Amino acid sequence: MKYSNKQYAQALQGALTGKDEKKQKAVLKRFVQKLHQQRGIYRLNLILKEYEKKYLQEKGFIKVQLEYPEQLPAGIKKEVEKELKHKIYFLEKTNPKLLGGIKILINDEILVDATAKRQLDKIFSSFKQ
Amino acid sequence: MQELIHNFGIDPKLLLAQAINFFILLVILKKFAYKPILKALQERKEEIKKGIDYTAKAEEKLASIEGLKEKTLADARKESLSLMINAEKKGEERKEEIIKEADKKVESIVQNAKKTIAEQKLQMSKDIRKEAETMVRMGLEKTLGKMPASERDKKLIQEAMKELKTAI
Repeated sequence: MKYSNKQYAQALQGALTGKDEKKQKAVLKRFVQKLHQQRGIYRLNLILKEYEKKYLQEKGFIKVQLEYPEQLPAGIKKEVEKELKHKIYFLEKTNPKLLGGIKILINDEILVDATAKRQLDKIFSSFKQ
Repeated sequence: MQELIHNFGIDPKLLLAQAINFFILLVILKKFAYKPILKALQERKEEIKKGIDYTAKAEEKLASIEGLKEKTLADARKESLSLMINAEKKGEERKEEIIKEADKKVESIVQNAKKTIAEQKLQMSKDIRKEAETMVRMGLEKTLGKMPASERDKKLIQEAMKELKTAI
């Protein structure tokens, strides 16, 4: 029977809950070995993402990734928190290719792309049409 | 009578002897000369008749052969004429076919050339557009890079925040 990433994440969470750090490491090691045996190691990243999402949900957090062309200016995180009215687990990413503006990814699902690159792409694609 | 015979110098005995001689000669001639001669003549006559018959038959045959020859020649002429007409017809058809094929080929070549030209034109236009886009992009990127971040991103960040309100 083939399990979904979500099912694996749930199983991992169940195995990790209530354990001390040492035991958690051992559980993780066994989990990875098992996944490797089942030839599903390529799914590890997706399973961990599911796990992270579930963990953050349970703790009442939402995951927000902020992508900016250079170092993130001060005050942006607060503005985001103010708009989303939630406890936020922030991830930062620097990407000079964005040229300007900001890209916000919420829970790996919702994307707010207000970058200069996107604006340019839009303009040039309208020229092509 | 005897006197007359005497006057003519006829000796009856001699005459009788001559008659007997003549008779004997006649018998001999008849047996050894006339019969073979007559036979040879008869044979010759038959040969001549046969020859004449052969000649008549040969003439007849020659006439029939002439007729056959004429007929054969006429047939041959007719057939050759028909062959020539057919060949000419076929040649004409082939000619038309070749012309049609050539026209088709020319048309196809022209179409292909047109297609290639159109494709090249499109590709050129795409390349030019791409090149122009790259140049404009590079220019804009440079300009954006030189702008102060706060001034450059202010409006975009405002838009992002506005969008965030309705995101969740």
